Amino acid sequence: MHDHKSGRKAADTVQDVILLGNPNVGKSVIFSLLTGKYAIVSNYPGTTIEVAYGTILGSKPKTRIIDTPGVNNLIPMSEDEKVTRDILLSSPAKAVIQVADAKNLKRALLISVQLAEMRVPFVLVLNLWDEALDRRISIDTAKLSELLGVPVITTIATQKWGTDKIFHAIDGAKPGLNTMLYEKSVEESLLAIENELHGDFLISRRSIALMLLSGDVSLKEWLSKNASKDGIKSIEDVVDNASRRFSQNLGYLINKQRLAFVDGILAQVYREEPGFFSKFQYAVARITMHPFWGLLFLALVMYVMYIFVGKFGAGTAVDFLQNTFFGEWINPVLVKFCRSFMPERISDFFVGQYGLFTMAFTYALAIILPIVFSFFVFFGVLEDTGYLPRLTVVSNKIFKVIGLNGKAILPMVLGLGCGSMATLTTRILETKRERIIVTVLLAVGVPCSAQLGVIFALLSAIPIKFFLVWFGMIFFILLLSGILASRIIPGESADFIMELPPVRIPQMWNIVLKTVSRMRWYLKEAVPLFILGTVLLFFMDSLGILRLIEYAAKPVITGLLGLPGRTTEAFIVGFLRRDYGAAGLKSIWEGGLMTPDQLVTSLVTITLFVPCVAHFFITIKERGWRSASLIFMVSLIAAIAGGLLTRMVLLLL
Amino acid sequence: MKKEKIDEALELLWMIMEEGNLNKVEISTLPDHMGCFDPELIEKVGKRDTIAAVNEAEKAGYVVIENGRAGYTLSGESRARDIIRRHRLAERLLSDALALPESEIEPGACKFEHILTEGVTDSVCSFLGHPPMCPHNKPIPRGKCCERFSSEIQPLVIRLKDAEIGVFYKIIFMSSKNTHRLQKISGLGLVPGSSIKVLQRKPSFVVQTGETILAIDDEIVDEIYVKNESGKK
Ligand SMILES: Nc1nc2c(ncn2[C@@H]2O[C@H](COP(=O)(O)OP(=O)(O)OP(=O)(O)O)[C@@H](O)[C@H]2O)c(=O)[nH]1
Ligand SMILES: [Zn+2]
Repeated sequence: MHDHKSGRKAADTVQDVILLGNPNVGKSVIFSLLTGKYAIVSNYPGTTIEVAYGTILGSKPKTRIIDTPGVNNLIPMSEDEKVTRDILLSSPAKAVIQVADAKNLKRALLISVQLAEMRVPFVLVLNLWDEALDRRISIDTAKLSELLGVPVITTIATQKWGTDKIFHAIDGAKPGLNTMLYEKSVEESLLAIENELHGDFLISRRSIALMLLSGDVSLKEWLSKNASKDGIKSIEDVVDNASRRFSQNLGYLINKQRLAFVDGILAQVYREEPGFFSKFQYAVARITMHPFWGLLFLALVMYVMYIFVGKFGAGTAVDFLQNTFFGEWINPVLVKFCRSFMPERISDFFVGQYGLFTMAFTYALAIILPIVFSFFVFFGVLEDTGYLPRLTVVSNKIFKVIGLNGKAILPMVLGLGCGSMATLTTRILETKRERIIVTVLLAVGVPCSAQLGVIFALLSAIPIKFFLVWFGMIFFILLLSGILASRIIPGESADFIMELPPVRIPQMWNIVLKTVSRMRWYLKEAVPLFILGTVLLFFMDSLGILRLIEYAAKPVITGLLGLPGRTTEAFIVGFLRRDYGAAGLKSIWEGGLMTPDQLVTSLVTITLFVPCVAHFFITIKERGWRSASLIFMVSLIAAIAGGLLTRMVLLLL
Repeated sequence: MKKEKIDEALELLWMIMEEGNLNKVEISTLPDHMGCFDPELIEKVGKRDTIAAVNEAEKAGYVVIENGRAGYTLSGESRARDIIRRHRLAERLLSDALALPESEIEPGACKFEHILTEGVTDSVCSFLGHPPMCPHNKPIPRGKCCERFSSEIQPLVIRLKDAEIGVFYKIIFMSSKNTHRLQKISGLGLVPGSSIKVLQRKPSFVVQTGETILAIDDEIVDEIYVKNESGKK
């Protein structure tokens, strides 16, 4: 008989520190403080969808720390929650740092109880202490620490208040007191399951038994590796028996009993002064979700974005950089310099029509850079206020039409920043069906910031009716794709349950860091593609292939869409990046080669065009080859159909 | 007791018909212990206790048996409906309002079904807000009181969707069939016993529990029943 109270493996080689907690409680802020590495911080649940790794500053020997997606329960209800639970199952942890929202202690303790059941050493960090104080909440941390049997500390991560205590606390991490007992028959079932689990696990057998009893299907794969065939069979029998014996779903029952236990702890440590906390933030929160004012507010937000990104970023800033900075100062000098000593062929490579400097760098740095910069600043502010999740409240009903719910607007809005990042964010959606539909919409027609900026700038120069045609067409095609996709793709639609963070005043410093980190990412990802595209165009042009392609594409481009042949170039580079394509259209338009009708047709086409290379690869990664290729084809067809439709509509107008 | 046996038989038939949408039940296939037939008693009395009970019911004129298949007479059906209604309301009462452990709910309900008068049954029904489902998610047959819902009897328990905005209520029960949904919202702290407040109804429901603010679908709101926590604003 060996009674492994804690099922942990002894002396493992690598021991990590794992950051974990409810969504949007400041894990990423704390991760950055502990590692000195910036992780994206935003005021909505589900910012961290990919696990981030870092090294704790000054740790000897070097200790790795893992930032995990937020969870409400260690029995996963969605894909991102599963990621976190799987880390606990598979990486030996020196300590778990559970970050909690102090004002939401009840939900945090639901997780603490489960960590205690797992017998992993942990500490509880009560973050957002400032907001708890604002709401006149007081917590007896000494008592809480005594009841849980682990260190409890309070922090305000954004002000770095109390965060150095975390370093010490890691060493004091202990498996919590496991005092929670379930009702007798549950305990009996647990014992029966535990007896079928043999071997050493990183978390206690009791906690695994609880997951199994809760009907956690995501554990199936793990189980097949860690239990014998007969074992699995008898576990299934125990679970079946138990669920027949109880009138309620077992997972729900277990949650209920845990929460009742947590209430017992709360009664001893948590106090809230009566009196309503009311502030400017509450008023804003109300307005943004109001059926009428909410829409008006949305219109206002879009208008501000138009002014800041479209007028300022894509207009004033681009004008200056493109025409004055590059056009008058840099490029003439470079042209003169190159032409002075290089043979024409070679200097063309640098400063010709498809030159590295005159095209790749001018596009990337003079057109796209200022736009994405202004977009990222604007978007960062928007993210940190907590406005984005409130959009789900206003848009829920609309998304229901296409088999989704309000939550889907989050990846769609993020898609305005960058389609590839947004495709990753579809993980916050619960069902596979929703994830596929949103992935399709992102690929088909959500323009990314740079593209949108160029489009705004171009359309602001011609009568408003053209803008409306462009907007209406994109909206129509998106809706149509959504409706079709929701008809074709089988599966259920998921419940709409969205947690709304408090409205917060954006942190200047976070916006700066976030913008810098996104710009760095942009430069790394986009500039090489601009160079590649330009080099490609240069050689295709010199070898005459460009003419050939233009000729081949003529029936579609010129015939069907009625566009000048040169736009083919823009579409070719559009395969690399849609914003690159849009920039190409901009220069064709500025060269006076298109009528407004043609401009709008080409803009609709490029908006609906195939996902860019990076976006395509992410789609493959998330959805697999076959789906990704299908999505690629669909967006190509959507682009051509949309362009054609626009042309016809414009003929009628 | 003979009368109770008959009630048990009627109840058993109801449950079988309900499962398979039948209106006749093959007697030879009757299970030995289901509904309120006590498994231990069956051991003592002999296996075919349920068949004997159905035969009793026939004698009393509640059931007709033809070619080995049993069906209700008119009076039998209405009697059965009342029994089922009492049984399932009792389950709700015991599990939600009194929060008894699981193991006591079934035996308790089996006793209640024989003793509740119509008046008491309707009061229980009103007290619980005329719940449509029992904790096992089987429909509770409607009673007279349910038709007068909202007009005459002011229920103590109301649906969250009818709750006043900005007032704290206590969750009494959630009648969802969807177990995934139940697990999910319980993870956010919404379980019977939690305080909840509606912040707005349109364009989507927004509720607050503790310091958590949630936007949720109307369908979910429909399934949550609450009781006024008087005085707390
Ligand atoms: N007032 C205040 N705000 C904080 C504090 N800590 C974090 N925040 C803010 O809370 C929000 C969420 O922070 P994140 O670090 O992104 O939270 P997270 O837990 O990593 O979130 P997910 O990755 O979405 O699970 C951001 O807007 C932060 O600026 C704090 O102590 N006080
Ligand atoms: Zn009633």
